[in-house]
Amino acid sequence: MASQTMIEVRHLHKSYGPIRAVDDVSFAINQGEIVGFLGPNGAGKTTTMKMLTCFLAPTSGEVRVAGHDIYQDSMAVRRAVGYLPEDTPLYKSMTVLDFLRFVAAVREVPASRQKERLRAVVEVCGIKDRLGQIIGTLSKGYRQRVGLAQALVHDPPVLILDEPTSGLDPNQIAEIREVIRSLGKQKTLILSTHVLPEVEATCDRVIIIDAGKVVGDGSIEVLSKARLAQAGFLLSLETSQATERIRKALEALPDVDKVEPVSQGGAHSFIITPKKDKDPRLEIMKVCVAEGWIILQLTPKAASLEEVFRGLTQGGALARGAKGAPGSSQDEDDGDDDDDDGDDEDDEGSDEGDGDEDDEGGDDENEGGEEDGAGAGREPKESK
Amino acid sequence: MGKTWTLYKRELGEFFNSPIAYIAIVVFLVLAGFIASWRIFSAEAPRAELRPFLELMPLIMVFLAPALAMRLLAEEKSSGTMELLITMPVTDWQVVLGKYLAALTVLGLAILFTLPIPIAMAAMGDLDWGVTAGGYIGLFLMGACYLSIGLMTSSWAGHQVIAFIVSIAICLPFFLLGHEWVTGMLPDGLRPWLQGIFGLGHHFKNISKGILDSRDVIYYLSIGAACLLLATQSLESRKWR
Repeated sequence: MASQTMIEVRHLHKSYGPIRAVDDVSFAINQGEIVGFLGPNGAGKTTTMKMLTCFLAPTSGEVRVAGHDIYQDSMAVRRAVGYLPEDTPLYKSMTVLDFLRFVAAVREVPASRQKERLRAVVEVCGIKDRLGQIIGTLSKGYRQRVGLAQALVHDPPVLILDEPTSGLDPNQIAEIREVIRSLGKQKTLILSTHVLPEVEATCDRVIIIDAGKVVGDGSIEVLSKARLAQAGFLLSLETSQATERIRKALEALPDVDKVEPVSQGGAHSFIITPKKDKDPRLEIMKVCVAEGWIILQLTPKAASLEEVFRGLTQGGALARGAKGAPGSSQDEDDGDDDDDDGDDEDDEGSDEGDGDEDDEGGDDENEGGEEDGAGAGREPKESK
Repeated sequence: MGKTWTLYKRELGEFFNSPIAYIAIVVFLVLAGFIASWRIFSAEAPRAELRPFLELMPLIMVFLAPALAMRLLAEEKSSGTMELLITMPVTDWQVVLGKYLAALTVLGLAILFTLPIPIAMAAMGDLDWGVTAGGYIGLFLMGACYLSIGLMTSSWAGHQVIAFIVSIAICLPFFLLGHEWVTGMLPDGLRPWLQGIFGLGHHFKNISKGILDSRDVIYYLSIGAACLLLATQSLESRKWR
């Protein structure tokens, strides 16, 4: 039973008029896997999920969920799936308990088991003290939990959660992740997100989608490896010398591949990317001592998942549509990455030490990862 | 049937959880009371008769039914709960039917609440109970028909206000084209044809005379059923390739 295929997607296409939202997506998910659907906004994650749950029909392709075809046996698919749509739509004028009772009835929980099931989901989702409350008056976090509870009430073998932690605060995210992980032991679970730490924190496997295509599919270790491989160092110096001169001096070092000035609290700071499999720290120390720069910090910086992700999805070493080797783009420091934040960093570099400038820089850099409320995978350069 | 019942109960609860049902019913009752009573206090010829009431109620129904029906599907779409509902193991037909029956219940209640009017009339003067019963049955059938038109437009519209306006735009011609206000201007040859097809009001007229003709009943039922089927089709259209 353990390796039974629960979700099978073959050559799935979905077009909205001329727009190909999902373009030849294929994958298979076994029982007991927790799979993260990862992709930027508009990549086709939600559309794919909507097709898996029989809300939308594919333009072409075949989908089988729990052994049932979504076309021929739509009802059986829907019985087997618990679905939390994006933005957690709920009937806002109902109380939590009424709503869950309604869902239980429609989801065919036998009347004799209803009490027991409701008790179980209320327990798991931690909404015991909110049962009598009108859903519209609940906080976002509690709504999310109610959404999760309604997806679980019929004890489905397959769970499909579309951005289950979006808009939650760090504590709530941690709690929802905990719930998801505990569920993953018995169920097949797909969750979508555009936040990379989310996937790392909860999933066994990741399917990366961009522009409607699968650009990566592999275990979470592959992703983490890619992430580590892009590691660099954050160096902060105190000196009166010009940033550009320091940068040139550092870049001249044999083990250093690239030096990017970043703005950090008035000091000269650089992200140093070493050449592959090299450790330039000793060289850096030496050059600093020789030049008389005072080292404020030299810390290893794991590439943020955002960077790895951009490397994977924006024409990195990994060709579009190729599957199974997201790690192959590790050594590639993609050009797009520079375009994204290169501009403002250059500015900061030229008039360094300006406090306002620093703030702006910090905000810009945060944009990529601000959803990451839990704080996992924060880059040092973001900590201001 | 069990699921339709569950959906029906939820929908009915939704009506009374929101102000819409109350507002629609109250406005309806105020208008109904006003129409029924204006003759009673007339200076020259005070008369207690139900005829003006039964003549004008169809027009009010043109507004009441769309007001009750507008949110049925449009609201689910705009708030996203449609996705929740339709990915549960229910058929589109169960969804449509459950919602329709809930709205019909509210409409029936609104009509029932006007019963004090004929009762008061009976106390004040002669009341033909046959005509009254016919009028009420006709009113209900007609309202049911408008309601199905409202549900159909609600299945098309992405917003309930649009559903409301469009369904009035459909219901009003249906009412007017069969009404003598319009048919009186038309050549004789065209009249029965127009009345037969568009004459929601015309068919009402027969019934409200106390004549329960199967043709009129079948007319209402078939229009109602056709609109519900179209609404179901419109829900299903999301699955078309």
